[in-house]
Amino acid sequence: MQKNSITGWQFCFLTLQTQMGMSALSMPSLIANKAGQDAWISMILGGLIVQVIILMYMWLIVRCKNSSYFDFLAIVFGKVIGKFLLLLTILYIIFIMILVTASYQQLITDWINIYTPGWIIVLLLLIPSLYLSIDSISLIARFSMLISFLIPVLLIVVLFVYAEPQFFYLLPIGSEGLDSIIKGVIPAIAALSGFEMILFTSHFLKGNKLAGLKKGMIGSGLVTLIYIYLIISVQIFFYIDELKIVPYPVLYIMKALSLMIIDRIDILFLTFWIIISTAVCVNYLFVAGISMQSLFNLQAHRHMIMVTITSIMIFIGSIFIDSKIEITEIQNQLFEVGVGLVVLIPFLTLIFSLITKRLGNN
Amino acid sequence: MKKDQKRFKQLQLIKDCNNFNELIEQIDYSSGNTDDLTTVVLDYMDKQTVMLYYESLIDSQKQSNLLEWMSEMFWKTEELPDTLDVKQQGPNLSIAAAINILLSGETLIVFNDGDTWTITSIKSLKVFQRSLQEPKNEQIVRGSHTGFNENLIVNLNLVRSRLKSPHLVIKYFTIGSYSNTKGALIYLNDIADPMHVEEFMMRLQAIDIDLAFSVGYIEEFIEDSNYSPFPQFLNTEKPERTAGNLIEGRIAFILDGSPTALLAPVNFFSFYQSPDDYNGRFLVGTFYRLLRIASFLIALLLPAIYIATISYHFEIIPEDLTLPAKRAVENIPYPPLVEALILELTIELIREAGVRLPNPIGQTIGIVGGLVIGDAVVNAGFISNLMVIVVALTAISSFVVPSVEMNTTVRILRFPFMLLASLFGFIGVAAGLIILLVHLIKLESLTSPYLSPLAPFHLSGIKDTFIRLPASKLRTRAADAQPIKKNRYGRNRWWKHAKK
Repeated sequence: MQKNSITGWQFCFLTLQTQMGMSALSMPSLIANKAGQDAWISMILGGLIVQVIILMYMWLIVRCKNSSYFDFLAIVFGKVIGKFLLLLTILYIIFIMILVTASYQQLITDWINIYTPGWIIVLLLLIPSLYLSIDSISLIARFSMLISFLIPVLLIVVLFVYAEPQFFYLLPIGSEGLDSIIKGVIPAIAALSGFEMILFTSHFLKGNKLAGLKKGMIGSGLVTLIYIYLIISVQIFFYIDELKIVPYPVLYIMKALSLMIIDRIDILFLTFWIIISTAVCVNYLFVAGISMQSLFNLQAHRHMIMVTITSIMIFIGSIFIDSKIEITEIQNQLFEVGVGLVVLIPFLTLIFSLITKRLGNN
Repeated sequence: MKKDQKRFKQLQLIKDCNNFNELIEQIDYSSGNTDDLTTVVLDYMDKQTVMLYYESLIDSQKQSNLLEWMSEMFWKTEELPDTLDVKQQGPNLSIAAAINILLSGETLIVFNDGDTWTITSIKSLKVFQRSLQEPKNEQIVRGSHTGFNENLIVNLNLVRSRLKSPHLVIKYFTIGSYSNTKGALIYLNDIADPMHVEEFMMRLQAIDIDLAFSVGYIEEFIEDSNYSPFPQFLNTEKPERTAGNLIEGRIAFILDGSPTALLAPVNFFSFYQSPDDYNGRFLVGTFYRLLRIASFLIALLLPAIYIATISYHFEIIPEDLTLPAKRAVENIPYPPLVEALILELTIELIREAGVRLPNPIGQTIGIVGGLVIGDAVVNAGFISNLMVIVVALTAISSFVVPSVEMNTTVRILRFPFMLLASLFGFIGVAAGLIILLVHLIKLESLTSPYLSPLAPFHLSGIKDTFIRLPASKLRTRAADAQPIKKNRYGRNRWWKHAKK
C-alpha cells in the first residue's frame, strides 16, 4: 500500500523532471525560429495555456475518483472505443520516448562521444531506466526528487550570462508582431510536454487529491519559470540571428565559460544531464507499463514484462529513426501532433463523462 | 555402539534411577561418555550425594569451595550458603535437561535419602575474557575509549550502564544447533518502532544454522539483500555509539563471542558518522562530515574520471595544464585502464599484506610498497606520475570512512566504474552512477529505506547527516528508524533568550 502511493511533493517533482528532461537544452532556438526575439513572450503564453490544460486535467481526475485515467477511458467510452483511445495514448508515449532517446543519442554523438556508436548511447540510457522503472511508483518519485539538485546547477551555470547582459537584444518588445508570437506558442507548449504525467500518475496520489494536484501544477509552473529564465538568458547572450542557427544554445553558453580547474563545463554538464534524461525515460517507461497493463487487463506482476518489451521497442525504434530520418525535422511536427493527442483525448473524455454522467470507481 | 543401545535401557527421568550408579551411568551414556564430565560421589551409610560438572566449563576455584560446602552439608545437613547462585530443580528433571544444565556451565548436586531425589544446580561457569580495550578499527580522538569484548554479559552491562532506563529491553535468543550461542536483542520499547522490533525478532528466530560463528556471519542470514555490495547493518564495537543509535530508535543485536553490536535499521549516512563528530565543536563536526561524503565520491569516481579524461575528453583539462598532463601520459606503454588496474591492485595487495602482519612489519611493508614501488614504477616509465597521484588520493579517501565494511565496499565498487570509463568515457560513468543511485534507492535496511534523508527526502534529516548542527538543535530523531517518539528532548539553552 505504502509502496504504491506518492506524496504531493513527490508528485510535483515527478511532473517537473518529466518536463525538464524533454527539451530544456534545445528549446530556446526552436521557439526563436518561430517567434524571433519575442520567444520569451511565447513561452509565457505557452506556460499559461499549459496551466489551463492542467486545470482541465484536474476536473477530469476528480471525475476519475480512484480509477486510473487509462481505466477511466474504458468506463466512459465503453470497451472498444476506450481501448482504441488507450492504444493511441500508448503509441504516443512510445513515440515520445523514441524521440527523447534518439535526440539524446544524437546530442551525445554530436557533442562528446563522436566515435561511440549511437546504439550504445541508447543502451546506456535505457538500461538504468529499465532497472528503475520495473519497480514501484514511490521509488521512481524518490528518484525524481533526488536528482532535482541538478536543476539549480543548470540555473547557476547559466547565471554567468548576466556578467555582460545585452538586454537590448530583447528590445523593442513585441516587434515581431502578434502573429509570430502566437506561432511560437505551439513549439513552446511542445517544449513543455511532459505535463501529461499529471494525468497518468494522479491515481497514485495519497491523501487529499486536490492538494496533491495543486503541487503538480506548481511543478509545471516551476518548469515554465525555469524555461522563461533560460530563454531570456540565451536571448541576452546570442543575437537573434545567431540563436536561430545554434542548436543547443545553453550548451554553447557553457562552452564559452572556462573555470580554473575545468575547461569545458558543457561536457561535464551534459554527462550529468543523462541523469535527467534517464528520469524522463523512467517515468514514461513506467507509465507505458501501467497503461499496457490496463490495455491487456494484466495482473500487476506483469508490469516488469511490459516495461521490458516497451524498452526493446524503443531501442529498435530509436536506432531506426537515427539511420533513416533527420530527427530535428520531424521532432517538432510529431511533438505537436502528440501534444494535440494528450489534450484532445482527455478533453473528449471529460465532455463525454459530463454528458453520460459516468464516474470512476471508488 | 548399536549393540550397546540394545542392551542399555535408556531412562527419561532422574527419579526413575534406582541408585547413584545407575544415574551416573545414564548421564555418562547420554553425554557420549565424554571424559571431561566429572562426577564426585560422597557415600556414607545410607546417605548419598553426587556432584556432576564439566571440568572444561567450570571455575576450578569455585568448585573447590563447592566441594567443601557439599561435604559440610553432607555431614551437618545444613542448607547451602546463600552466597552461591543456587537453584532448586524440580523432582521431575529429565536426563536430557540435566545435561543441558551441565552444558550451560552449572554444577548439579543430587541428594538421595532413600527414595526421594533432591536436585540442586549451582552456577559455576568460568568465562575467560579479554579486558576492555579501545577498538582498533574505530579509534577516536576524544570521548570514551571503551570497546566491547567477547562476553555477552559484559557487553550488555556496558550498554545498560549507559542507558539506565526501564524502557531498555533486552531479549535473549539462542542461535546455532551445535554452538547454542546466546544473543541479545536490545531496544528502547518506547522509541523503537514495534514493527521493526517484530521484524528483527522474526528474522533472528528464522535462523537455522549449526554454528553461530560471529555477528558478521549472522548478518548474512538476516539482512535484506544478500547481493548488494552495501552493508545494511551497522557494525560497531563502541558502547556509546550503540547507545547513541538505540536512543535514535534503532535496534541492536549482540552475540556472545563477538565484540560487535549489529545495528538496524540504518541508512547510508550512518556509516559516515563517527562519535568524534559530537565531541568536538559543531563546525568541525560539519566540516568532517562533508569531507567524508566527498571522500566517498573521490574514492568511487576519481580513477574513473581520470581514465575517461585521459582517453576521451582531453579537452576538459585547462590550457595551462594540457602540456604537463600530455607530457606525463605520452610515453606510457599501457592504456590508462591497465595502468590504473596495475597500481590499484598493488595498493590492495599492500593493504591486505599489512593487515595480517604484526604492526612494525606492517608499517615497513607500507613504506616499501608505497614509496619504493611507487617511485620505481614511475621512473621505469610503466606508469605516469599523474596516475600515482590519482591512485594514492583514491586509496587515502577510501580509508576515511569510519566503518570497515563500507570502506571495503567503496574499494570494490570503483573497479566497475573504471571499466565503464575506459569503455564509454564520461557517459559510461554517469550511467554507472545512475545504476548505483537507483540501487541505493531500492535498497532497504530492516525494511526501511537505505538512502533515507535523501530518498525519501526529509529536510529535517539533513541536520544530522550531511552536516551536524549544534546538539541543542538536534531535537528530533532521524526519520528512517520511524521512532515512536519523534522528539528527543525539549528546549535547551532557554536561558540564552530569557529576560534579564
